[in-house]
Amino acid sequence: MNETEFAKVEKVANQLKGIVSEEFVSTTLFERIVSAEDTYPYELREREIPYAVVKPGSREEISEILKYANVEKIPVFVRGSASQLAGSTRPHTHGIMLSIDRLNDIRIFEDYNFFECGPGCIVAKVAEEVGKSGCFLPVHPGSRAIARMGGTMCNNTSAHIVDTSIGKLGDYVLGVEVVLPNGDFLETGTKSMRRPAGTDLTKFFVGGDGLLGVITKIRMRLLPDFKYSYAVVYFDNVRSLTMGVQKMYYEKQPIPLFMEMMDEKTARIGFEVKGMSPPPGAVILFASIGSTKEEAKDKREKVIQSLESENPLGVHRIEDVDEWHAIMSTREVISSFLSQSSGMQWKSAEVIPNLKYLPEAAEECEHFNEGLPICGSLQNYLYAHIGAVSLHPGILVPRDWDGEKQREAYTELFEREAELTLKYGGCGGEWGQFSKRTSFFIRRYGEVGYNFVKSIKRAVDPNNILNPGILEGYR
Amino acid sequence: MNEEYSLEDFANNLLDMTTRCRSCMSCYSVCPLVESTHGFSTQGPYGILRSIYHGIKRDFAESLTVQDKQVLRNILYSCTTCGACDIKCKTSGAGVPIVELIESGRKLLVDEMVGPLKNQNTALKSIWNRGNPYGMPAADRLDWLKNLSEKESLSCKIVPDDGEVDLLLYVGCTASYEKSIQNVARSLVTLLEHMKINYGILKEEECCGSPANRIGDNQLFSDVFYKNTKKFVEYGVKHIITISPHCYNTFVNEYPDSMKEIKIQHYTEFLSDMMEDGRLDIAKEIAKKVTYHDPCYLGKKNNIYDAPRKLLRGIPAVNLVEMKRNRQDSLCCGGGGGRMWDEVEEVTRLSEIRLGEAMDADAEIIATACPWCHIQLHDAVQDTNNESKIVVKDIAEILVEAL
Repeated sequence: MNETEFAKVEKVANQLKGIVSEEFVSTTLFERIVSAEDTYPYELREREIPYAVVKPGSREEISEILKYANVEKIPVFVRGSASQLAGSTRPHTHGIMLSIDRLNDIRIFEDYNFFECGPGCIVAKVAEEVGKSGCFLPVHPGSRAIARMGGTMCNNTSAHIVDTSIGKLGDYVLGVEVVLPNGDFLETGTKSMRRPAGTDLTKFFVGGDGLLGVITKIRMRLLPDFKYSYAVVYFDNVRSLTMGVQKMYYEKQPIPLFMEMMDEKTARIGFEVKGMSPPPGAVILFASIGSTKEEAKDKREKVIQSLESENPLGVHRIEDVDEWHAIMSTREVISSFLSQSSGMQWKSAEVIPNLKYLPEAAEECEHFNEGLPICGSLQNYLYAHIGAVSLHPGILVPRDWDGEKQREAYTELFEREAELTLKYGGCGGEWGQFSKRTSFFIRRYGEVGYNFVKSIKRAVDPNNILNPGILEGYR
Repeated sequence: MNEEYSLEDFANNLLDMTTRCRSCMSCYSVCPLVESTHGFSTQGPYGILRSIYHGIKRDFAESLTVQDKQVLRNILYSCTTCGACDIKCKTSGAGVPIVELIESGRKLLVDEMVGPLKNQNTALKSIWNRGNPYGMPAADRLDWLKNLSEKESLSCKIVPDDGEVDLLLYVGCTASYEKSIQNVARSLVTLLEHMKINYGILKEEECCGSPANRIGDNQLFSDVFYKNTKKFVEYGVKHIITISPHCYNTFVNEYPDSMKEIKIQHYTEFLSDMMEDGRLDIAKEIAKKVTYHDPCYLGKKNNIYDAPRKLLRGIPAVNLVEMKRNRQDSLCCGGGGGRMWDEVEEVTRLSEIRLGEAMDADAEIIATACPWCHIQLHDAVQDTNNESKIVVKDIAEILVEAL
């Protein structure tokens, strides 16, 4: 750090310490670097290291920070746990790293049939809390043990949950409290069970990619938990598996809450890591739901009926929830195990095709990286939230490539993802629309679409103080 | 570091190992530091690993200031080495040896004379000079025996003066010197006498070296294990039981192959076997609600969860209740990783969080089987003025009360 930057760090830190208690401001080199890193393996550039990390404890403190940032024209990057996979949590320039961790209260209002929580609440903890009231939290990311509610709101992601089963996270959000980039407070939505008809301000923020405000409180409808019925179905190949999923939709079957798949190569690894006998082929795991156990079982049978029309190698009905969790864990360990055992870094992509061409898209994803200049020779694996028609090819990228090559590799893989999603008419369904995906957004929705978002951003945040770089795109 | 393997090689290897973390950050979900601090990114396993990584890289580039190095030292020495992150990482399929890497980072800092923390240094010097980390005279090590009854004193052989024994009770530094823990050693003597075991203690027992390894002093650890193994072999020791899980872990997992000929048990395992054989007969009732706090170096590190519980269940009328977090999920007391010797930043003390969990379980007694957990939890009870509601006892002490 040169003298000018050092002076800037001092100045920013002193200002922040006038807003929040000193103990919640860090300017140590290591905190500034680590707090700005995300799941990508390549390092920050020096110009991307924040001046300071601040942990405000109230919306008032956030407001003051944003007002100060506007006066001094210092970018503010909002951070939860940085588990987002499209690069949105990584700063692209010096600035203030604003952590929302301390906004982590949760209150359940049974008589209103909703709960309120801060954006810093850990997803798994919120799920546990609402679970005590017999309810289900409609968001289930793989990173739920660390992911925070604020981040899931910005992406409006239901993550591994099948959207067509119970809808997206935002469908349950009654309203939010927000601090706008200029420091103003805004409350959106309603405390009633009926969400606004017509303009719903909540929609600017839930699924707003963090562009327009800092969410400081979330109000969500309580969703009663379900009864479950589980099954595993094995197929000879990915094509017949995906055609089975198509049938499930075409035959208007009740869509499961969770429906995961792994190709045979990937499944074998997961099963082996968890000490299970190797599967005979590609695998579908699914959980049907109902208000009674019988209803859930009935729905499971209907799904199996559709899948059976594609001649699966076997169907295993699971009656024991522990067995279900064990078999689901085979899917969850794959990326970590492969990263460690191969000494490489796992990079997954998200390809969202239309239903009609799902088999073709899945087959292309089995050869996702073939022919790519940088990543063409790397190992490719395939798993998917197949019920949501959401495909995750995964690539192992060498750790010993230098940072610039890794950046290029990741960009190449995002470009390939964009190419396939465009070809099949989809869009990002789990990880957000911008940052590493900005070029996709422009191709998908044109300059008109992109300028539309930019003009809204400019109107709300004329100094481009809040999370700059997300909309512009990050390399 | 030996000459063939330079400090730079060591640093390069460590650098490579830290990059094996795939940044899923799941380790934050189980790390006690996250609960006891403000939860900055560097106050959790992933952040500590990344700090090591950046520290080494920037040190190679000569861009670290003295102040940066001190910050790095504080980050590395904040870890309790409880191992919760290792378990989480292994469950996720990756299995990065996080604690081992953090301890390697500490070794690097010690070699570069940046680490350890000031009072840890004093503890290490005391191990060099006096054979214990508490600055106590080596000659006072057996003072805890003075309060034993004549019968018990007679039963306790001094090795090697009193000849060979079937079992060596390795008392450890804390139970030897800490007044509040000496009763645990005496309780063990009472139990061994009760079972008519031919046992003894070392005349010149010295530290097992665990603090040296946790704090990162390789040289001191090498010296200590050489002296101890030499003694064990020379005196024909066949079977050792330890009071501290830290000594147990060191002997089992960190001592060289020569110890493999010696059966090593934590005392709870030994007593559990004795109870099963009918040699430890417990007759008296203790009608109390007891919860068991799993010491990390017994549970998470060595998978010993059942023996302590079996002993407590073997006491008539004991109502054993579990805390919300138990066995491998149990929360660290905060005393491991060299933290017994220096203050590290804590907004809420881990021991007080743990005490809260015991009180939530409505327990009247917190049973544990580790001197450091005992001290930490006892201090928490005192500092929160809960002496009238709950007490901390070692399992050995509870067993003696029930004899």
